[in-house]
Amino acid sequence: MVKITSSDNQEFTISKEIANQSVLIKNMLEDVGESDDQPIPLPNVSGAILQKVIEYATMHKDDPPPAPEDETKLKTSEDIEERDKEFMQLDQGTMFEIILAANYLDMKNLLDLGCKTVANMIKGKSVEEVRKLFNIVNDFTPEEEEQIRKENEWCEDR
Amino acid sequence: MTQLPQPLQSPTHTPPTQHQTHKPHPHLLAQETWLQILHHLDFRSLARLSQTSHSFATLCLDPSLWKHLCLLNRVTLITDDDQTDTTNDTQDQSVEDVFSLSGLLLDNSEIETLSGAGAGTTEVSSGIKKTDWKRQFIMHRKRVLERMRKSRAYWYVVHRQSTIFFRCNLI
Repeated sequence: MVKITSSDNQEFTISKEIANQSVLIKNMLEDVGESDDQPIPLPNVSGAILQKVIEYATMHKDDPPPAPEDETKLKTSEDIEERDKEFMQLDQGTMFEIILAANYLDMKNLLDLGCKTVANMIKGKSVEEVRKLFNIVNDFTPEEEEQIRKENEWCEDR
Repeated sequence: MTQLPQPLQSPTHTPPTQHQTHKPHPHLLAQETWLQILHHLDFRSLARLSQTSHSFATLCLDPSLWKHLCLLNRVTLITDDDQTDTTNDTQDQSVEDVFSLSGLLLDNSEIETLSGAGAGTTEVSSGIKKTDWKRQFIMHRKRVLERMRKSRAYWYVVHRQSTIFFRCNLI
């Protein structure tokens, strides 16, 4: 078993196979050795988010090891497992925090899932809808806005 | 972890409502993470996202995104001999500027395969040609639409002719 502590000092005890899904923790464990009983501090992740991350790792602990990186394989955001879709039904703040945590903990699958989910939220939305979705402040002057609209007119042709 | 400062609010910006305040600022995620997200987008969503703000406009111009879309859509690269310039110059200039800033270098294998591509490539000081992937994609898109229009026109003519033929037979 492995002990980890969150930024708000919550301690979690997880099995080694769950811990090893994070390359960061895996490397740390290899560095400190098996015998060390000290909890691993994760100062960049809060307890609430760590709880979600552990939930994801537990869900995927029996997955086959990832296939070697295939450069020619092109990304699509369509292939999300049903259980992952359910897992990602979160508010946007939590979703962003999970993406940040996955990035920090070096969990490729979870990071990929987060990115795909955000991409799917953007897809098919109008400019104004995307602004509203992410609270993006329109910092264009009316002239700039008109110019950039013209530059991107081609994308609306069907 | 430092968070980027919020950009100045434009006069047109309405104060956030109770509902909106729960939303995290997009700058919470690093630029690299955003790029990773944008790699999953189709060209239309990408072009629309680039119209939302200055920072997203810059992000959406990243050559890797358009290269990915070109590969995904099997875009044939067009050389100068095949087609003359179809896009306006001002847009070209801005895209080229971004290219020279980003300093993206293609690896050797790519240079070999792309060495023939004239239009949509930029000569850089080192003498290596870079492909302007966004322009290549826009040209590809125009070709696809042109092909679709032609085929629609063809079927319209065929339909008209068969209707006339059918009516003649009735008389």
